[in-house]
Amino acid sequence: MDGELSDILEEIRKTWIGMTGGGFACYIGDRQFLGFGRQTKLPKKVQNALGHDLEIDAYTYRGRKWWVVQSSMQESDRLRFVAWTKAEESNSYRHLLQTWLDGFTFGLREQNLGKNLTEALVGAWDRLSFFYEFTHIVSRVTELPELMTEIIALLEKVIFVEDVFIVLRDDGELQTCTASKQDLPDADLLLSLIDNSVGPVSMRELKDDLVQAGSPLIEYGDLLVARLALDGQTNGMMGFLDTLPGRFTANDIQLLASAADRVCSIIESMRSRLIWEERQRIERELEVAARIQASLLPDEFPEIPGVDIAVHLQPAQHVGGDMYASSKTQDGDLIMILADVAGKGIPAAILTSIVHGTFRGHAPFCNKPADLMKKIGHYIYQDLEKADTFVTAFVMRCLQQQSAFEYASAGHVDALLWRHETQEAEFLPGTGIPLGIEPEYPYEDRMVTLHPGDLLLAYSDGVTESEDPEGKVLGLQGLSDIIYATHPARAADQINALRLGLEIHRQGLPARDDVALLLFRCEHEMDAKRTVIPFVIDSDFHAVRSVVDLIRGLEDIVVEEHTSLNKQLLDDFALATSEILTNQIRHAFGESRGRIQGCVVIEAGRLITDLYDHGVPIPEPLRVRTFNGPEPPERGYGLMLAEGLLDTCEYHRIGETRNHWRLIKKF
Amino acid sequence: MKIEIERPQDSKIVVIPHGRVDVQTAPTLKEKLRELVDVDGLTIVVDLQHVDFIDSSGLSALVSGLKTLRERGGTLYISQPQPQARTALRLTLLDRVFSIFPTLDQALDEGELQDT
Repeated sequence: MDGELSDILEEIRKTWIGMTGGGFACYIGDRQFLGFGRQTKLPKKVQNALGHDLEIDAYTYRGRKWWVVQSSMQESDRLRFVAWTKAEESNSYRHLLQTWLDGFTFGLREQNLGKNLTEALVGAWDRLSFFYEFTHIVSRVTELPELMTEIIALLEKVIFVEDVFIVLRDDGELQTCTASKQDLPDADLLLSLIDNSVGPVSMRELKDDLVQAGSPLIEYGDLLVARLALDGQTNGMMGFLDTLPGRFTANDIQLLASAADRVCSIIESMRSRLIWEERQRIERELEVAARIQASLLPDEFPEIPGVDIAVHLQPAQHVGGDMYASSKTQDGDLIMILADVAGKGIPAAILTSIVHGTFRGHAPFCNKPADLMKKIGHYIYQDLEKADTFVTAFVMRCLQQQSAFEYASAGHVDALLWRHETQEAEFLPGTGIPLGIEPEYPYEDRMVTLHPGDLLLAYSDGVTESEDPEGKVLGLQGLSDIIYATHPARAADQINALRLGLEIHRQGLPARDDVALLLFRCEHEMDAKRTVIPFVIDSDFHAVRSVVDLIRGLEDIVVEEHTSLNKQLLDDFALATSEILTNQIRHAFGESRGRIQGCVVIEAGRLITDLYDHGVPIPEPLRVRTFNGPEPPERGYGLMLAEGLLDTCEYHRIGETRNHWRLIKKF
Repeated sequence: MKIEIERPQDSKIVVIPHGRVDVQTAPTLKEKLRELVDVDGLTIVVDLQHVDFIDSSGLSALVSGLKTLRERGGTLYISQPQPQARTALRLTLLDRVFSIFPTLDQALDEGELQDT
């Protein structure tokens, strides 16, 4: 055995052990050259694998990972590595082993085995040490220019030539890096000459073209260049230059080819990492921005006797163009704004801060919503004009003394006013054009009187324009349906129902626009005497359970002087409600999807469920069926159960669009 | 829904559903009962000890099981219905249709008596 060969193999062994804490052995034919002690036998499973034609195979045995890597040469010359490690299986180890094998087999194939084996192995070792070092560089370096410099320095150590170069085309610009720090002449020309090459190209092949172009590159004795195919295009090249003609050998070609491959893959992964890091950076900034934007919103509104207020804001992205704010007027009344900057994301978010600042600055000095709107419009006009956008806004002032509110609307979507007395929704139209169109637009105020149980909902168009997968919007109808069904509930609970309603409407699609909701409700004398729990469900049998759970979960609610609802009562009521719900899903919507909304109400010795849907009318009131004789029907027990369990079970068609079921159980 | 199946004798099967037998899970029970009836003269006891909620779909599944069994000279008993299930069976008058037993053993013994 040649002294140098065993030195090389010993180096490999040390490298491998150093990297993985494992072990290593090498065979040529049946002879084992080094590795673990000769006395130690390989596991049988691994020994068996040595005979097969597998190029690389991995086994787990005794908690270790074993690799058998073998050349695909003639049986007699077969070169094999057996390597093992306690480390997790990792592609990079596998890759390293494969590289070693490539290096050796290349050398062995090029030269006659035995004749120039040492030289071939030295060449292979050059490549191996290059890749070993390369792995280290890659884990350390994060910037492309630094990577180029490091790779060149490494190649310089491995191959003794006049110059080493890497050229990358980034955004159309050529970036050249050389070992000599000299510029590479005619880089553009060279790049175009090797455009369609496969593998390294030498001076011999390029000479004619270079002479014809009168390129100074011709001064070099030899040249070896490989293209770097990034993203499938020639985006660069790397190579060696030397004064000695015919300097580059097959070993060098192999080294350059492998190096070019690795450089390509590392640049690509580095680019994607840079993109990823940039994304991460933006993500972090957006999170900060979202926190800032959220912190601008009031956590709670001042307590006003007789009024219940709740808000909700959900940007479609991290930050959005919807906002709300509240303040006190000169007279001490509560004044609120809900605004929607046209557009989404960061540009819109920046403008909401300006609206916010202007509102805060002027609200304490204005008594009239229209005056405030005018001021805001005046001050933000220039910013909006520059940004080429506009803002719609709804400003309302709460007049406690008169049980009324006054509002001005700058082209904002019609606010919804729910009238308790008529049980109908009214819509409040705009009183002027959006902000940012005319700097001095004269907005108008409108006064609305309120009665107990009335409620006002201001919202952004992201609510009504929210689309289901077929592109159908929730619309004013959908919004009114939910308010209709949930209006006796507390403002915060209604807001939750609305959020849920929106989610159900979108059927899992992400929101495309920001959503803002501001609900202002005049308390009703009944509020203190009852507990109202609103809900919204998808017309799906799976959703029935959520209502059953809601009702069965009422056990802990204390009603009237320490009385609580017993389990039996709640179970019965849950069953009756689920039967009607199931029926409703089956009949009102058929095969299509819809929404059912309602409330569970506990009041004065009664449990009530009100269920509303916008499906087709129930053809005729379903009757209780009884049966005689021994053969019971397979279906139709639902209404028997509901009727049997409830004190009242009524169905009404309301107007053209709504079905209403009212279920009552006394206790 | 978990459904346990026990077969104390060749001609007797105990079916023990767990949790809720409602519009969502009733089809599974119905299908299971249908599958089990592969010979004539079977007695199936549906033990409701672990069913804390049954709705009309669940009752339909039981009726369907009973019919399938009767067609092949078998029968279906119910044992240990919990208060909620008892109410449901009573209100639908199905307590007149099914033989209902307070314990599983009684349901199995009842079959024994009928066999002899």
